[in-house]
Amino acid sequence: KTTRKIDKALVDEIIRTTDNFLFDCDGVLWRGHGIIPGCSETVHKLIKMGKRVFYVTNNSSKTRAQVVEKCIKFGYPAQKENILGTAYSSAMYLQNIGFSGKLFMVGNPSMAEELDSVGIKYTGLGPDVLPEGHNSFDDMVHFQKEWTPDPEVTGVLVGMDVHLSYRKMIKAATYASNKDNLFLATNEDKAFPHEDHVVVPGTGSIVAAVKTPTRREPTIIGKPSSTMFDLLHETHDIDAKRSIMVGDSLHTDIAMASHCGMRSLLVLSGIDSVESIETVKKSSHPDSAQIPDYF
Amino acid sequence: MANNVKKHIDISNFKNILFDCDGVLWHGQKVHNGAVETINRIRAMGKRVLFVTNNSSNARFDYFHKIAVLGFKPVDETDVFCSAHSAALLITKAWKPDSKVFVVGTMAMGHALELLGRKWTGVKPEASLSDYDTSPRNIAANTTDLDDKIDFVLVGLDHNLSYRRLIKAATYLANPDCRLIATNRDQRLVIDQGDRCLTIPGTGVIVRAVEEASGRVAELVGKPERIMFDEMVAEHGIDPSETLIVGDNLETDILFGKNCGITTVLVTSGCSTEEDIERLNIYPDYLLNDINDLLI
Repeated sequence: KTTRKIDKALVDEIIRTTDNFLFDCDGVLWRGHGIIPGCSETVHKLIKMGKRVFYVTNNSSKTRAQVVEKCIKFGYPAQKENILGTAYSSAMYLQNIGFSGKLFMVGNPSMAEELDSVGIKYTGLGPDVLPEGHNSFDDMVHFQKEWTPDPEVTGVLVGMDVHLSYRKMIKAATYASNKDNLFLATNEDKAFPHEDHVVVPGTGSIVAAVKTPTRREPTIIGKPSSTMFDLLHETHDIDAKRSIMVGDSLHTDIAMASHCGMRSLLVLSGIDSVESIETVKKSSHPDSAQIPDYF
Repeated sequence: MANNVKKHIDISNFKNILFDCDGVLWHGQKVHNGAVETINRIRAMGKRVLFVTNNSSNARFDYFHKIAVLGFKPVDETDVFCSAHSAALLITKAWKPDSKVFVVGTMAMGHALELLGRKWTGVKPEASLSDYDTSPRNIAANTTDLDDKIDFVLVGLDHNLSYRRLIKAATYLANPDCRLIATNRDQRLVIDQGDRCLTIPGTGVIVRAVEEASGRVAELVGKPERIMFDEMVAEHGIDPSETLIVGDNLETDILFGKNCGITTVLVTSGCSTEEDIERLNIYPDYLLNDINDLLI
């Protein structure tokens, strides 16, 4: 597949053949706390033309309401119904499969809020450390001797958790190693796009910390899995053939588009570049799903 | 089944025998039945006995002490090869003036570095999160105690792993000249007490978290890499053709033996089982129940 560079003729063709525009957020609509000039005007124009616009993000630390807030702050028209984030999508996935047990959640308050909205029980939110002064190596050994898993837990959900700790990792690994328990993760993005020199590790590092000793792969809710597109299709009846995914990441946005039968547009305002496409093509096992239709 | 693996060994032709520790000589703090007598008899046969472990929680001296206290008699600290010490040696060889190591691991790893005169930071819990530290970006912005001299990030079993620790490790490793070194990749320990079965994450899990956070791949010091064997050759002048390793882990001990060109014995008194041989496609030269079968 060749990736075609956008020009006026191509824009007209895309507008003619597309009803639904799906946008990734970070690196597409904004960059961290920074605006990307011209983009909000573009989205407004699309809506004026009668196109449907959706925002699809792997960020698990925001409820749909929180994403709406950020969109509006940056000048993008948004309401809950056209937002899909992984916190909400995980809750919907669990509701759709009729999950009725209790989750051990390695996550954050936004994920908890979305689970509360659909009445799904969970435990594990927040810090989980041995008390100061009692956190020696021997104390950890003692904890391992004393702690017993909660028999009510029937699943593990992993998302961004700034309170990751070794003790929490023991609990999550123990629950997730049990093959009878559901094992889900919001996404495996490596890093948040960042401006300064400080790296902001992504949920991928949290998921690695939990899944590695279990010898299991969690079911991934976020891109590149098609779960969020399936949810959109269910609630809004969108036709993949009349839809395009606009994103900055080959590995998540573009790959999801390929998996769902949508066209894809790589924007260069975020993670990946034109060179990134070449790198994918030249790799030892090239993943054709990551090659965008346009850039 | 593992049909081509011999079930009986004659150790008379082996001058040097390397023993993994956990699962072979002891289980936690408990000596394996008969192990002390077996080691003593092997020594009495005039053989050289060396101890080799991936466990990063103890320094060379700690193992020397543990081995002695349990009744085994190492002749010298130099009979013990452990990943904390080997990592410190590797880093020392690559040292640049004014350098520092960020240790995502144990106090023992810090001590091993100190013994060789290397400066280090890390190990202690990072500054705890405040009420303002709500998002990953906020926390990163508030992580202001970064050191500008870090040339090595060394990963072992870090019980104080936290998101802030990952921020620091990944930020140091954003510099391509900063090396990522790991003591070992052992993934887990299973505590199975029938009604209570726990999965305890091993160093390999900490390593994977740092690799994902930083996008880098770690250089490994411990088994199955041959670094510790090269140290044995340097310190004791041993000949691989006269050397045997006895271990309980196919992916570390037995692969290590193959990488070093020495004869391998898997004992099933620890983590690997006979079924694992075919599943993992790692075939030891010999398969025994435990260390005592060396003398049958």
